[in-house]
Amino acid sequence: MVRQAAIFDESAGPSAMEHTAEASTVAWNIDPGKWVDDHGDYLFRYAFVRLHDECRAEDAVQETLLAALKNLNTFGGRASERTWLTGILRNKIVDTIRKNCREVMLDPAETDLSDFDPLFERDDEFRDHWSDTLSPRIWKRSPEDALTESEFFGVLHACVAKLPQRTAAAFSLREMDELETGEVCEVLGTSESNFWVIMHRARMSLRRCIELNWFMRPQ
Amino acid sequence: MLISQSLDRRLGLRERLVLRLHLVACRPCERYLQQSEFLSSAIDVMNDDEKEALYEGALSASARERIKSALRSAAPLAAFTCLFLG
Repeated sequence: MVRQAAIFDESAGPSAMEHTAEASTVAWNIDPGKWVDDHGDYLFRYAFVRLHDECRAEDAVQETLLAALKNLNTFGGRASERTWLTGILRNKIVDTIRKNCREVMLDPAETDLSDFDPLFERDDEFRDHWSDTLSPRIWKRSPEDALTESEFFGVLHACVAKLPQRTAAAFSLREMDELETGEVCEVLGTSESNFWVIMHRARMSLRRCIELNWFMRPQ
Repeated sequence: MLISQSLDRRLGLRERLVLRLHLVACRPCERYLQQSEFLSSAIDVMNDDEKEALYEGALSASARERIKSALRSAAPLAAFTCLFLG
């Protein structure tokens, strides 16, 4: 409320006005009152595909908008309002993931993809090393067509959500947010060699999941 | 594993040779590589601003209200009304 007073206090010079967050709002034409209506759904989807949980996604959106409100003066007008808000949301998501992944490091469910590992222990073998059940099939449906169907993305997202938490986090940080390997390792608290194992398991599992649930299904 | 790593980092020359030789002989691996590449491109589409709404999802009405009211408490409506009048 002190900042508010500065605008209407005639003894405060123009420089006081320039530096208040409210002044930024007027100068850049941001309207926080419209944030939820204009960006709420977009931010929610962004958070949901990364956190896989409706409540967590809602909380992330709320925290993001509150943080943005507190830091209006960081909006430089260089990017769009949505880009700016998404940037704040992205950091919140990374923080959430970092916190959750430290907590689940000892969860036995995190290792249940290790069934895939023996297949690739000997990369120099040229004999058929896939077991029958896990060998990649020739897909019945066109991959290109899949990319135009919203139902496919529902399946893809469900497959990512089924991964163990840390595996899903590694995959989405790397593939969706394109964090560098080192950054992902820092967030997850893991080594680079372990990161490769996690990504390998993630891809094996996801490929298999979308194959079963989309590409081998009759049209 | 090399196939998966090839999607994440640049392989060394020797690694690339080993991989390429293997792929010539191993159809399932070739398929695996193609399908993994497809997976990456599918994720790209999910990220594409214009296409992201293909994935349906939206804030529930109750979440909307909750967030709006949290924003209002943090910065009373009066403050913004003053701004636009002042």
